[in-house]
Amino acid sequence: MADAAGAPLRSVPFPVTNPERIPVQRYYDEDFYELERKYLWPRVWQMACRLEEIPEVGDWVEYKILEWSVIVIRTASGVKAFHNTCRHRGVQLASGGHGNCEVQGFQCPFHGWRWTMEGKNSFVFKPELFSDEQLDPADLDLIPCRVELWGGCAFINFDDSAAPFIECIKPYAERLDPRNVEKLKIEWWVSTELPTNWKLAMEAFMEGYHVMRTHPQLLHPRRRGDKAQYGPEMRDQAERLAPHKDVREFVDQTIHNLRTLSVGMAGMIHETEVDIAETLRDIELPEDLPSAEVEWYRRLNEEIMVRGREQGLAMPDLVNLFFNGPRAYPVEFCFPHYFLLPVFGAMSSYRIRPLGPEKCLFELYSLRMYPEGEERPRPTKPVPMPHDSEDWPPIPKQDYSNLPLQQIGLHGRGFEFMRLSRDVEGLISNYQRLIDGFLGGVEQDKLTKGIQVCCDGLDVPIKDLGF
Amino acid sequence: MADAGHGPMRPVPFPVTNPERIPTQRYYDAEFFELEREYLWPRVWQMACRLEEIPEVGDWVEYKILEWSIIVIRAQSGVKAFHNTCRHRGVQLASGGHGNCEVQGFQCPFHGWRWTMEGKNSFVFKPELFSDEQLDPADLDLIPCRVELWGGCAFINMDPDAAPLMEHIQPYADRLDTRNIGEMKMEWWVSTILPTNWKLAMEAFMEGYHTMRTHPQLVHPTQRGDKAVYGPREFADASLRLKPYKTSREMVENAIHQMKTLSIGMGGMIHATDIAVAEAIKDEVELPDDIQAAEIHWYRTLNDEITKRARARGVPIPDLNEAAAKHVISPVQFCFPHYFLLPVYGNASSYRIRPLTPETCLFELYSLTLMPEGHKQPRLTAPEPIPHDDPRFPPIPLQDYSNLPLQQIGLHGRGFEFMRLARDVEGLISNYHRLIDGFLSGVEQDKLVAATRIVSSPFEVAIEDIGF
Repeated sequence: MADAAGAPLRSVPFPVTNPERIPVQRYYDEDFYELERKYLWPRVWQMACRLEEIPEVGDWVEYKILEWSVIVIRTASGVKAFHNTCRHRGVQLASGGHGNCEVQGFQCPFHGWRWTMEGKNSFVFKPELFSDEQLDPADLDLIPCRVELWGGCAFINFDDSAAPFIECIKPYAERLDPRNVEKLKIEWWVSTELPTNWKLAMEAFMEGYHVMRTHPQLLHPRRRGDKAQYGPEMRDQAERLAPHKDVREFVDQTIHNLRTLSVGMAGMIHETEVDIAETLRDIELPEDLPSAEVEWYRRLNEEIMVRGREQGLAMPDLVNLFFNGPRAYPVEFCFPHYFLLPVFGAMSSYRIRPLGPEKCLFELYSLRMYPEGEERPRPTKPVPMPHDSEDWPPIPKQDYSNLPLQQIGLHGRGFEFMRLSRDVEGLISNYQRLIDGFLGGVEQDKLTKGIQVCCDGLDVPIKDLGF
Repeated sequence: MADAGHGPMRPVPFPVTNPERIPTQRYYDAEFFELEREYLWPRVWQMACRLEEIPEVGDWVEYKILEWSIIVIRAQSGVKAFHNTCRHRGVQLASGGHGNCEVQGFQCPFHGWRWTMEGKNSFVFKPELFSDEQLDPADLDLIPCRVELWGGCAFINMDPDAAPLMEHIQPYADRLDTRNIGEMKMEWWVSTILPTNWKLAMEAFMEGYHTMRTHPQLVHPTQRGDKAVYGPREFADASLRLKPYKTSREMVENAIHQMKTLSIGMGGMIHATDIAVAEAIKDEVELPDDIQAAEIHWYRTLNDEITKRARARGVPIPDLNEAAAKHVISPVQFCFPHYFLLPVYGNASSYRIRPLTPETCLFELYSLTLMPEGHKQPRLTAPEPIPHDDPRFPPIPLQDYSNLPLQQIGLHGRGFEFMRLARDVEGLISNYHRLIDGFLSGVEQDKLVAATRIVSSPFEVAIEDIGF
């Protein structure tokens, strides 16, 4: 393999050579995981924390990725990030995951050296024991890490030569900024450790093709055709959705679906938004079904927007978005490990970090808007719960029941590759090929363009990444 | 890099080029660990067992280092060591960690070949099945491993050409012999598996610079100055200001307090009997008003009393004042590469730290003391490792273990390229690392031996020239 410019690229084990086929070793091979550790994670922008985790000056949280620990701090001069390492003998300075360092700064637990919240060294015990060169002030401050803010989150990147974050997420940000994502706050936050590769967990959300079988409740019984196409007795290969019989049936089914999604995610469509939909059940609508559908959705968006604004929520212009866009996908991926599920004013959000070749930390945030100025308690990192806990909302629970089986199934002898649907499972391929770009040493500006392509939505086809 | 007279040396990855700066990859890089496996461990004297582990003829214990297993046996003819490998098809002969082989010898569990406790082959099943050359008696005995005794321990070396142990550990051994270290016995023995490189764990004990922050209880409250130097930022004073004693009495009270704190902190090292002696004499001893003179007098008297009372109980304790006159003994004494002693009065704490992987080590802690002659101790066997945050560990090791895993993780911090050492008190860390580079790069044997003598030293020493 050779770069266009002629420079030889690194060879990648188990590369994606046919974009529709993903070699299975990419999900468990140690070497592959090691290459991701070396060439992917240190070079990508990563959602390190939500800003509500650090509301006050001095508040800090730790972000861990693989063996690296970064402290993100709201300092007096803005949000900063530092590598969590004492500059004497390397002990982690900040432990316990979160805290406030405004008054105390950070103190190394080994020999007591200190730093301010701005990362300036403020104390060396017995400096006379050291050579001058060892205590060069320019070399004693905490080692900074790049950090940029977007969408209510701090994103970090270990790579000083990476393009700015905001450049990497065009046009992703253009789709989401009009939805006021930076105004969202955590309603709840839970996590689990899944026995799967991190990519496998991400990919479970990249297509809607699995909904019919994995989340059958999301289709209204009457919409599934007269015989369930996944039923054992069914030989009918075509999905036969029964058309709505009339406008009332359309409204009833839509409200039913909104409720099922809201319950299924314990958010995403917030229950207050479903309650607003309920108030619109009996409104007057045109008799012609397509016109009625448009009018009903217009009213729903308008009511959610107006009532939200009455309560002081920074609601986006949902009506304008409904008619004029930009349209957001139901799932919006921010390469590599973060995604949002926008609907009306609330959203669900996921972050999935590698813990081992076959293990990942899976976090789920329910986000919504709160009245401007309302005090919220500072959220802190949840203790992971078992992935089969009864406390999970129904939809994640259904996804978690498949994922461990998939990780095991991938090892099936003779099962060499996943076969993707070209038209709706394309994002899986796009992601995997972009990862090959990082691992193979594709040049930086091409990778940046690849990230722009991969910060994409649910159900997209296989796309050209430009390399 | 080229040796003075012997051609090119092996390149060492992440070498120490500035003695005050230690590249961090040395603590986790798999290749570096591999080079230590190849060029360090097979060529150094290693504390393999304490002799109380093998009190009777035939008693044996297994010593494991990396992938190698060695049996140390108290044979009829003295302590011997053998590689734990059947000479037929290589199965490990001895398993279970310890045992007695006086009667049974060792029998291979695969085909039943046998050896005596002296390592002589005593049985080959169906020898007629083998060519004569295969059963040459000279080639059937267990493969011996170098073993030498010092300080109540057996030390092994896998290098048949290594210089004798004593050439490596003088004057270290002399200093400790004045304390009758060879007569000490284990009181207890615990272990843990730490998620750190073995060198990192060793280095946590190479300086007292960490005491103020990590073990604040070891500095008496009245000694800390009126504002803690490590307190909130507004108190931070650039120098540690120890408050002077106001009176000789206060000096004694502080001394006894510190003995108690250390004793509790280590679950030994200073014993209850030592504290009882101090308590018993503290009111009788006449102290000059001059505090420095009082301090000297107090410790002289305490040493005399501890010596006298211990001898009365039949404890083989040296005259502590005579011993102190010969060698002022530093509190921590390192025996390169992986063993060290903390001698106080008639006792010592003792540590051994073995690599398991680049980022894990087996950390053992022994409490040693001189026991009355003829005192029968039950044979102690290797402890099951307990978690490093187990409250059964005494407070001081617990404090050290709380930092070490954080340090191993912190070392990976991007942009953190080297540890910066205090030239004056963290020098042993540098001396150790440069000696290791000597092994890895292929410095000639006699220079390594000379450097090992320098590096087998007390803690808190400065960076020193180790001769290459």
